[in-house]
Amino acid sequence: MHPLLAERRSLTAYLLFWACLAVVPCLLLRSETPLGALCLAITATLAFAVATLPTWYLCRALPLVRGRGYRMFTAHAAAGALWSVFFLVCSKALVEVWALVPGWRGLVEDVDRAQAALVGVGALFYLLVASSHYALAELERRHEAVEREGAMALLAQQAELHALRAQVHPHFLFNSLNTVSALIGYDTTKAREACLLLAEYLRGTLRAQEQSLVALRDEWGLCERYLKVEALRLGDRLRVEVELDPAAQDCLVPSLLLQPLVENAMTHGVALVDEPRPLRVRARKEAAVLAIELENGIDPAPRRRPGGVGLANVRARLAAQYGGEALLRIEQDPERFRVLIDLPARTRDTPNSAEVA
Amino acid sequence: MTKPSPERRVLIADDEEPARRLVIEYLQAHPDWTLVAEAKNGFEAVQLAKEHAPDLLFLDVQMPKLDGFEVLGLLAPDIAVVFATAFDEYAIRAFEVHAVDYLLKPFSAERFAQALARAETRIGTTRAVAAPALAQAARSPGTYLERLVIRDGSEICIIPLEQIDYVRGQDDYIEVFHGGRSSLTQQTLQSLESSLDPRQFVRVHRSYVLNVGRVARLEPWGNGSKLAVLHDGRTVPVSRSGESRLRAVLGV
Repeated sequence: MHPLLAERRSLTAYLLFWACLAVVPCLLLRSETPLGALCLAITATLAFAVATLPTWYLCRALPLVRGRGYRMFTAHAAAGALWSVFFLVCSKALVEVWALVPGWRGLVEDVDRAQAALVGVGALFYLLVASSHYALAELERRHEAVEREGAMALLAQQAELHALRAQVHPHFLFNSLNTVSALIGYDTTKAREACLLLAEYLRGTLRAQEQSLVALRDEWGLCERYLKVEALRLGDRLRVEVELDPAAQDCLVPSLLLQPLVENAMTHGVALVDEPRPLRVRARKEAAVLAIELENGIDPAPRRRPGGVGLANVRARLAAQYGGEALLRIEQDPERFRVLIDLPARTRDTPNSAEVA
Repeated sequence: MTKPSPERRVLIADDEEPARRLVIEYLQAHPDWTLVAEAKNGFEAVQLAKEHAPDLLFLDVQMPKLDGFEVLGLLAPDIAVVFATAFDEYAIRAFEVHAVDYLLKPFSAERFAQALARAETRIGTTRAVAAPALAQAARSPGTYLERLVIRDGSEICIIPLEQIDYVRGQDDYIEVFHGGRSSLTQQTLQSLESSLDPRQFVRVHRSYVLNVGRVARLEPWGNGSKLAVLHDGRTVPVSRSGESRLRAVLGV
């Protein structure tokens, strides 16, 4: 569809513009009845403006491409010749109507005198129509490009989110399998329990990878299964203190948001610290903000600087999902490592959570 | 194996109870090998190794206190070491530091027996302690050392690198000056330098590596060389080429 016809406002602006341009043929008529000449000029010009709207399709068919100049020129020259004659014919037809107004009879003569000028004006007007349509086509092309870019970026972002979510560490699996292998030797009941826990956790991660947003309750449930498997391996060294207030548990978080953080806390913290220092998890809903806090003990003289790929992933996912609305901070002292996350507190019932989900 | 084999003494170092029990179970099939102790972290591993002088050490890599490579650096060179870990990325480095074998968890009883057989051939020989390789092994590729583990008499000293003021090299030894103390360890200055972050530590002299953050000012010291005055007033000699390296890092 013609872009000018798509919106009433743009069509009105277009016609208003042409009404102003009617001054040109009006002056060329050099009539003794200026008001009559103006009426005639305005009607003829508006008729011309409306009649030439299909030029849009000609401009679309002959885009501004290097090497096609000749074809474009001939096509528009032919169209221009036709439309300039049209302007004259149109003026002649309309003048018969306006001449019926008492005292405006002289207009017919004015038009006959200015025939050549009117054809010239028609040609100029066509030039204006064609060039403005090219400008319009270019604008629309840019708009489409921006839209396409936006769509591509969205797709890329979704792919990235998926990739970031899909990281389950094989080391965890190998360590767990080793635990199972050991347990088979001295505690078969526990070995079986380990297998079941592991299966439950793995199934949970598969399910979690399918979803983009989940209730904090479910995300923590997955972490708990992970921690149960780890507890088999680490025994008393793993102590978990959890405080999730009920309102916070209903809030939505990106699926697999906490799991990598808990895994980080295990591999860089709990597993490398001898003294049982609890893994603390807290979540509160404060007005429109869901505040999550994860704390673990660390080696006072770390072998590696903390804050590796895991944290960077979480940060990237938060940015992709919430933009500037989410905040991830790290607090650290020689014995403790703390990750604090502030998210917009939304639940399934929050109006704009449906679209993000 | 027709000859009567003497008793072999084994130490296990792993922070996970099930993992230790698995090794003990597998060991039962090999009566020549006797378990002498179990270590639950890196410190214990070093202490128990000193106390029991085992022939063989099963060593986990990721442990509290000290990791497997740091433990290895503090062991007597005649203890054969078999790494046992779920991480395969350390395998190459393990052999660079002359580990006897590298068991990937979970491992089978057959694979375990193979490691024992391999250890058997190694017993009585001395591991060439390749200090540079050890220093390299203690960190991931592309990263720099974050801490230095030194045996200071009977004490094990973990020195975070940012606490080091400067290091002086003397033949095969280095003396590490950190917070008013100094510790001596067997390593060449060259090998230490190669595992330090060059933006933080600069070889300012044939026998000195300096933490650039400690420098207060440079003073002339005759014959074109300089003296670096540290914030606490101590001084470190700076050679002419050392000065240009230092200036390159400081950007002055």
